[in-house]
Amino acid sequence: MTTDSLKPTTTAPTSQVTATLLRRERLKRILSLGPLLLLGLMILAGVLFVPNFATAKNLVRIVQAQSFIGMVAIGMTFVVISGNFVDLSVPVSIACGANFLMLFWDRSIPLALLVGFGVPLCIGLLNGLFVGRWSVNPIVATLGTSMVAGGALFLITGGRYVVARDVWFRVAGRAQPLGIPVAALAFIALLLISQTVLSSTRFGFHVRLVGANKEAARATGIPPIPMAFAAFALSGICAAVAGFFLAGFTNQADLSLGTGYEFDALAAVVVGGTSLNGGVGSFWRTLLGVLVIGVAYNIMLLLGLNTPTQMFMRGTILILAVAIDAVANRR
Amino acid sequence: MKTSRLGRASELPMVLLLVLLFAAFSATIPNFVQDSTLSNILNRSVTNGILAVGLTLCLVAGQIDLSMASTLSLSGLIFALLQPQYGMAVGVLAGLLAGVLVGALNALLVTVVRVQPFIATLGTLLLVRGAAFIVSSGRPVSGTALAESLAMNRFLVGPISFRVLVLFIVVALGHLILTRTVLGRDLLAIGGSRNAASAAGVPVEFRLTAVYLISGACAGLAGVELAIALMAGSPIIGDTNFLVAAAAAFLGGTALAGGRGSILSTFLAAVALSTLTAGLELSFIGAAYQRILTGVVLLIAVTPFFSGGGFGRLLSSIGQRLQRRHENNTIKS
Repeated sequence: MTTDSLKPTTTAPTSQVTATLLRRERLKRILSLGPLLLLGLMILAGVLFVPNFATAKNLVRIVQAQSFIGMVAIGMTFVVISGNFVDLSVPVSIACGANFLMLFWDRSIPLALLVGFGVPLCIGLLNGLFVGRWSVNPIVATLGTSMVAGGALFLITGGRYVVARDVWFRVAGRAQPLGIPVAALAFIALLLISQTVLSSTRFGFHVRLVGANKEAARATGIPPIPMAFAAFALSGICAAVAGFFLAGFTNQADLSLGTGYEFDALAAVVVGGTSLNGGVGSFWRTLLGVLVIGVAYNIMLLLGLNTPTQMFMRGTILILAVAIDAVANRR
Repeated sequence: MKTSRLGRASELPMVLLLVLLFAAFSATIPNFVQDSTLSNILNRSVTNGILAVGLTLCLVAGQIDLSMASTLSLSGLIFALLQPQYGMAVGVLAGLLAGVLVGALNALLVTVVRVQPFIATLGTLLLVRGAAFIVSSGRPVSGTALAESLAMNRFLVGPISFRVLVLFIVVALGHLILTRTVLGRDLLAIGGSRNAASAAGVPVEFRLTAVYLISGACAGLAGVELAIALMAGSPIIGDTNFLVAAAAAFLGGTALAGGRGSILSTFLAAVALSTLTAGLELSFIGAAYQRILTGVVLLIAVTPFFSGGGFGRLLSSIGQRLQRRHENNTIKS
């Protein structure tokens, strides 16, 4: 990332350097408008060319599906902004949350809440231990923890579907007061709280500072390690919340409930324009990314593309997003 | 001639680990050490081992190629789809070519667009996985190369089959590249400090392109080889193989940050992991436990104690002490 910082920029004439910097600044500003423009274009294309796109029913469908990805993306945003790159253990956190909540809910709600949120929290803390304390690469560490936790979950449930009878699950997953899904309301609430925490609390400031420059943060007396613990713990909790609503929506839970959510959430964060280098970003950008991804998937669905093609398109979207991120933040 | 061991992880810890595993399993499982178990262990190591060689070359240069997991699946599928119609040679070449092409895409993303290697190869991982699902419609594809499949698994010498021979050749080539060529030296230099390597005149972009092409080719070869051996390709087959290969590379002492690694050590670690799973299976321990154990090994292998060489030093010091005791005993008697 910093390989070019050694190149002798001082030898070039000052005016030329200024011009390059200005051009880069302009490019950055244009690219930061990109997601909004993209969203506008896609909605326009959808309204004009895709049948059944501009209906109230379809709108609710987009909002419903995206609120699950959105909750996961909120946790992922904390991880990315704090400079910890990515959390690939969210599918297992979602599955653990959903399975344990459903498994224990009918017996005792406090127990279900304790286990359902406690296990993903522990997965997050374990990630924090490896990534923050031991400087292990986040991808390897989170893959490792998800292998262990996923295997353990399989031992407990035997890979079977778990169902809770309690009506609250169906309310959480399916109810639509005033036509808005409960999950979407929860997502917006989570988003507002997270944005407030990030922009106007000491904790949020520290997260951003640690993400921008770990050494500088350490030098000013902000220890980076607790921030890594906090970021991954929040990611685990957000995934468990998503797992709760997702379990209510599908009315059952199994091991593969969260599959693919890590990539969708990461794509949403990056498409929104939060830099993978850490330190910069906001939850409004994540919301934008979630909407872009949601509309894109919805259009693919309405056009009748099959699942493999959709997977291929997801990979393409993620690559394009990270490539644009790399070009925009090139130093 | 005494060669410099600079930047090379020691193989001794993995030899000791392997000996320990064999000792433990021979003590608990009757008839553990015999030809069929050995061939079972070696056959299990082939796919993971070939992947791990390519991955180790990436890792020593401070890179990583996550897309190997799905490239393996795609190459195997392409082989299984083309072989019945166009014959063996076309199938193998097309499978290898697919791997090299994915490598080229990775190289493009990392060297020209300058995406971080982890994220770039994560993207290609998804892209190639989608492609694998598209070419196979999400189902396993069975091949027709029965004779070749049997030939792959036929024993040449003792427990060594043709597949294992392929693995040995890849390991030997990888070892030669890392220790005896300019490319290997440059990769270690780039992994140690990219800026210093660049300042010293190493063509960094060129070398990185080479290493992604190699890792892509390794993934392609592993996929084709596995497809021949199983007579089938599957869009999801590569995922666990890659995790085990990564565990082998890290367990073998390859530093995640780059600059240190040994192909032989990685190979021994892959064999050790196969020994572990084979032994667990022979002790009737289920797949979920094996998965948990692989995850635990992966996590332990990347903790500073291991990746920083603490484990290697510990095992080496034990080895030296044993050797000294042995020498003392022989002197006494």
